[in-house]
Amino acid sequence: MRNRVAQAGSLVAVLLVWAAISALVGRNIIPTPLDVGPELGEIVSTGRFVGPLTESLTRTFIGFAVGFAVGLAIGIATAKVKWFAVATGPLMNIVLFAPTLVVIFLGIAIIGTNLISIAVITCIAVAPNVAIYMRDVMRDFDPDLTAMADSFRASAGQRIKDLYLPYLIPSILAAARIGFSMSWKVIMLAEVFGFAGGLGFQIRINYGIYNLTALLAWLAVFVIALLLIEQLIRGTERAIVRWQP
Amino acid sequence: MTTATTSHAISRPVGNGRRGKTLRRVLLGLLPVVVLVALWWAGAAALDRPRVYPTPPLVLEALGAIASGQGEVGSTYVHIAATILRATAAFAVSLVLGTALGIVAGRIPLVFSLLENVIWVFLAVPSIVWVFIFAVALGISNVVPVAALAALLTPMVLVNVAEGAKSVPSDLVEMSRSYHVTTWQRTKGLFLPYLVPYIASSARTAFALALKLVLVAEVVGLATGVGYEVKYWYTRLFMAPIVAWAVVMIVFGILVDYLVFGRLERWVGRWKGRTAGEVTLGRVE
Amino acid sequence: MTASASAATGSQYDIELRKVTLLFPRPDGTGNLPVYENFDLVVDQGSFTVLLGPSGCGKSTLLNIIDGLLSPSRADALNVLGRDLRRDPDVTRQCAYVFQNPRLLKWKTLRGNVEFGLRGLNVQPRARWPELMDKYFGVVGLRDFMDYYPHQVSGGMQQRAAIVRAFVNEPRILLMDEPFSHLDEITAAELRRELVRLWTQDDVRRTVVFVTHDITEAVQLGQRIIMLTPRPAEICFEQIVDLPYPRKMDDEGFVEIERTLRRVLVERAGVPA
Repeated sequence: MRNRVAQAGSLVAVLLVWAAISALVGRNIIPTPLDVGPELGEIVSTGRFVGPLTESLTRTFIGFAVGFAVGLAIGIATAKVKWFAVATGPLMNIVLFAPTLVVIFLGIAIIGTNLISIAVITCIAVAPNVAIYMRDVMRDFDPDLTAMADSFRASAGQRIKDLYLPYLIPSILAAARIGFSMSWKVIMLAEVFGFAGGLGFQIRINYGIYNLTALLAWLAVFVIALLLIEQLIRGTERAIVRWQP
Repeated sequence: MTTATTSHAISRPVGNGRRGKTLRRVLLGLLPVVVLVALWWAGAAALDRPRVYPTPPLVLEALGAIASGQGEVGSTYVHIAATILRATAAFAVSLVLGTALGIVAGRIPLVFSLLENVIWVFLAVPSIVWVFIFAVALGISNVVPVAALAALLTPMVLVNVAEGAKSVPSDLVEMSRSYHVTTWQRTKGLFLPYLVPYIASSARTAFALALKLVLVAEVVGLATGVGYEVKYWYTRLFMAPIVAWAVVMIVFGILVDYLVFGRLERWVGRWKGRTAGEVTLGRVE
Repeated sequence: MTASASAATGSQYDIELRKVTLLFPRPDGTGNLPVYENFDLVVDQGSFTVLLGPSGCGKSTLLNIIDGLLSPSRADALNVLGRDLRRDPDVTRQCAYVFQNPRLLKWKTLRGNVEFGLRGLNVQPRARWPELMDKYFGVVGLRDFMDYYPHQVSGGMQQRAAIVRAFVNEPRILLMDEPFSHLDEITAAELRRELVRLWTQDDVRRTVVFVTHDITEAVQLGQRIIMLTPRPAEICFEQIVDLPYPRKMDDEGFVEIERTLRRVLVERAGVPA
């Protein structure tokens, strides 16, 4: 009960912080929630949000799917196969520190503003983080359970099905949640810097004409959509993990 | 199908050939990099448009130009310094602010619950949008990239440190209270040692992320910085310098991470009984 | 998986270890630590052997060697159930292990956990599984809890389930590593009684190797108590216990044996009284 109140209070806190900042700086510089609200309402009610949202989402799903699959595979392989971990170590570090701006610019210049480019950019930006997360999760697997499985001579197939998969699924979902929001932020960046269409594109346009109200309204669309998707994934996590105390 | 005995790694011999082993590991690690560079070279040569598809030698040339300090838009070292300063400033602000807020949020659950959604929103906003917002609010100034990065990094540090603050065993806190330990003593002797690993790991992640995103923060309106350089070359569609600048940032990042943060975490790890070895981004939860 | 004929040894013991040497690398890298050095051990078929010694002297390691989970650095003979373990590692499917902690998969029900063991060892035909599970869950009193998850039952019940997981395979050799040491005294006493009941009720007596550091427990359960010293582990004393089961702790013979063991522990293992 107290948690619900705190949650609601937290949402109110967001709006209050925003309103305070706006009051501090001046509302013609930073619009208040009351200015942005109607703009947001207009975008939503006229359905103007559908096009850019769908475009961004499509790109994000594709980019995320590629980046997540690659990251998952690498992460698990790194945890289980010693030489693979050694071989991919330096390469992972290099990719981890690659500046996002450069990755986007190179992607656009070399591959273009198409979905392949999206997939590559997102992969480079997201896969290493997912890989490291999954690798750490795999490493945390209770060695006592492994020893128990050894003593009962469990086959590889049995281990995957009864040991690793049930252990990994909650973590995979959590990684998906984190990875998805990471992917979408990268896509937004890409749309601001060159890809046409999508929410990032709308933000770029509105920055160009210094329309901060509209910019914030489109940001709100992004934030709300992201929130809904994350809740969806969290719901799936809760539904699947029935065995937790 | 073999049912070979799975002997655990405990009975592995140690001693001979250790130096040879390290050399082998280094070579194995460099192999994929070398292979990729080779493929890159072949692909770029085949496409034969060196301005857009730079070859490794071209990139090396651009690196040489950077190292010489002479750039088409001013001294490259000035740009490097500007970028590093901004990233470090953002890192410092977020570390201090995030730690302070994190400790409070960790010990007072109400504060944490209230902040939870604020943190989430701050983390969800893409970095460039923060730059836009601050640029509009503050105009063109050095504060903009620092503030934008800080907005992104502080919540991250906050969440990590809060987790650390929460993890201090309450029975130890009770014990210290029963011995009438002063708040200062308690902070120094009980909390800080527990928090140090979390602060150290947040610092590492925050610095790495700062470097990764500082270019994005610099690309709007500023006249110095690596981000400015990258944008300049992008508008001229000359890719080799862009790759060269990326190499500079990557090398710098890896060096600092290994020399500074790696050492720090190893030192901390020895106290905790564990050693971290690689960068872990995305510790955000 | 046909075992080669050369894996057959003529050994009349269920377990025969001769001159087993096991070295662990020292953590600081300065050579090796001998855990076992030219160690001999024989175990008769159908006997209840207790390995007694202070914690850390390598008793669990011995169980791992017998179960084929750990290869010794050197051994003249490593025979289990009449076969050379090194040539026929599959023979250890006839061994079942019970650990200190239940080591149950928290995402499976108690029934699911036992099936995991059945599937792994693969020594029972699938058709018999329901009947076997019903029988052994019944003996330990968990028949009504088969479909519960581990976190829904107590620690004692979890350990019972782990015992069922081992027994249901009707193993020829049962390896138990301080299985009751993490339970409260009342639950542990109950489980000791159940273990004795399970063991004495079977038509063909299983061979049990039971590790403990508790002298009273050793005398309660074992027919033959082997006392081990810390590294390198050596047998410093052997005690045959001829008392009938179930044993009474206030019985004169029982107390006398306990006293003897305690005395030896002080003298040989250097533990203050």
